Amino acid sequence: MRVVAAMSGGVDSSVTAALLLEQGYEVIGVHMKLHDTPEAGLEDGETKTCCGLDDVNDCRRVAERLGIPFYVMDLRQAFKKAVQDDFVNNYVKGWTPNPCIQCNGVLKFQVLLQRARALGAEYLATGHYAQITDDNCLQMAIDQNKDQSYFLFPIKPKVLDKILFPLGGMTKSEVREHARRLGLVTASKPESQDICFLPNGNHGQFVEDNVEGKEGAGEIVDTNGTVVGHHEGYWKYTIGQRRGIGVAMGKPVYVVDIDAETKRVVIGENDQLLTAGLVAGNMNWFREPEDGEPLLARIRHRGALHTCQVEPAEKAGEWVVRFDIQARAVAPGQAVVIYSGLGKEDERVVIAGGWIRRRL
Amino acid sequence: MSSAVYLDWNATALISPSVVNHYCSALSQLDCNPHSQHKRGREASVAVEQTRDLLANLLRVRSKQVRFTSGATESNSWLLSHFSKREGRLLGSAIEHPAVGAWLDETIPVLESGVVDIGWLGNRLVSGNVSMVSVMAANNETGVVQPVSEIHALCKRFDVPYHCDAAQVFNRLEWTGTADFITLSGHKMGAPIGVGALVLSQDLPPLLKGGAQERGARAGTVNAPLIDTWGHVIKTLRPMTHDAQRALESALTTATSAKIVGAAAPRLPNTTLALFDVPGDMIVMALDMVGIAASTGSACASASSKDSFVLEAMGLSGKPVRFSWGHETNVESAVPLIIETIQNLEQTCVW
Repeated sequence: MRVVAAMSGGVDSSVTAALLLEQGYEVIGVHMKLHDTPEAGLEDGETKTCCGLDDVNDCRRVAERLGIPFYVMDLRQAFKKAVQDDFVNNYVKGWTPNPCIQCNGVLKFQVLLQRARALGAEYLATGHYAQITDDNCLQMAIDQNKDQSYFLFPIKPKVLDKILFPLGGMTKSEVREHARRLGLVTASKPESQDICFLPNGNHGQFVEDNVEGKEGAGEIVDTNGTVVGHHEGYWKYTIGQRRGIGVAMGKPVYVVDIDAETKRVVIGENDQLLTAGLVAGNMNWFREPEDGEPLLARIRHRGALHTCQVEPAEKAGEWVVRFDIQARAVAPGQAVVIYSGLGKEDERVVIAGGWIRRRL
Repeated sequence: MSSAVYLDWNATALISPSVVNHYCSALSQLDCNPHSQHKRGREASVAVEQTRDLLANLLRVRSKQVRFTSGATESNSWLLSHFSKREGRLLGSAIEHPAVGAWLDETIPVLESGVVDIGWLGNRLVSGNVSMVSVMAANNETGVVQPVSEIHALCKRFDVPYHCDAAQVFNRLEWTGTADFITLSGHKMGAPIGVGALVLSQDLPPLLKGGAQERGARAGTVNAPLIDTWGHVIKTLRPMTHDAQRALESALTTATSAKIVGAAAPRLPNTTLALFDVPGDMIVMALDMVGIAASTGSACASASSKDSFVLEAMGLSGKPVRFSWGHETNVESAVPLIIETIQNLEQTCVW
């Protein structure tokens, strides 16, 4: 049976392809060319993102080692539209986007999946750490430190049976061990950390370069509205941010609000970041919660699981998530993922996920 | 995985078994420095000069006008880096290979057909301030043949030197053109990769200093076995018929969504560039999986992942598929599988 394995050039996706081959699948390696970010020069040190030319070369070497065909798919147009433009628009709204989730939802599990099917593949496999259960539920990975189920919430439930996550039942060290055993060049490659199209991690610069005719500079105010400083662009800030705000208040202060209309960045103390709940939109439901089923909300990758209640909001298509205990630094534009509280702690199943629109 | 049918000739022509044999014996017989005084060295030197004569004969120029290089990119770079420093603007067509395009100050537009706009060029030459005109003999992506002799005559009238990158025409067409400078590539006509030539009508400052090789213009030990093998290839060059092209294109246009690019212009007989309702890269992948090697256009462009500027210059857009082949390629036998593969993709989903 034919499988398309998405290969980034890292150890995880290399081992994914290798494991599938060992399991007897006919594996086709595909690397997604997503953007034209310049290659890191010799002076730039080791790159921490994926998708560069070095990564493509590593993919080719792994594919040759495994004896599988390997192709680079040019998906730059779709990526620009679904991910990069969305990224900029979010920051312009004063929100904090999550481009990796957006990429999973559109590029990997829509566009790439469709292309894999067109190439005659039964399945699309990626190196994500998450599990798909026999009854087609999206479940956390065995390795709790690596679990990426939070990033996968936009996958449409009806395509779950066309997706394979071969690493979901393994730990990272097992994965590296496999890579070494198979002699893959990527065995000891460092983790990719940053956003792939921001090799220097400077999101403010990217927004600056991609907003046309918009000026982001404005005032920094405290929660009473008193001006305490100025900033060069509100899109450089994120709710909950402490470092690099650019004002000294003699006590720890945080970004507690960003108002795109007035271009004001509001700072306040830690407890002003606490909120009782949020409103989410664009919810993707894997299944309805059962009566009395305890629900847990996660509002950032590897963040705490907050016990919560979920109910429809007044506006159709929006949902209110109420935390039993206040949560900190809820940022519009980020994702909220609802897990079932039933079952074992490390076997949580994703019930739904959506995009945070505002705090309650 | 080696492909059963190789349709990527314009990226690199396959090396025929006879050329492989020749190269192997050249490696053992001419494995010395052609500038050495001993017998072996003289033999190597004679082999190199024989190839130079063959090239001169092929292009109807004098042997001493021919300089060996490592390939077309080096030839272009050597020539154009020099002319880009001269007074006046360097003009080239909008569809030049990037090895030429990278040096241009101004681009000459092409017509919808893919042929360079001679009228535009004439008007531009009237306004003066042009250091050189560079227009290729045939485009590597579309195969559209350019009016080389006409352009040369036009440039002569304005006393502007004309350079022609002729990498793609040999072993496909009879060379009938003339130019002041000509770029040649060995591997596009069936020689191993790593040898090319630049034909000069005036001396250029040396590309590499430190030796008397190539009349002091390109220092470095001359690769006698490689150049000798190229000579062997040159002796076998012959034009191709349009039969395979007609068969492939009529099948594509009847059975798939194919639109042939440059169909209205004179084209190389070994090249078909087509746009489909399905993105070209998907077709190339699916074809590779059934053992057919095609490409999405220029191989150079796929390394840098830029969209085809050649299509853009012709007012077209999309991701095309390029089929290109040699004399020995059995294109007709691959046609049913090509059609079936593309039809499958076209029927899978709406693109």
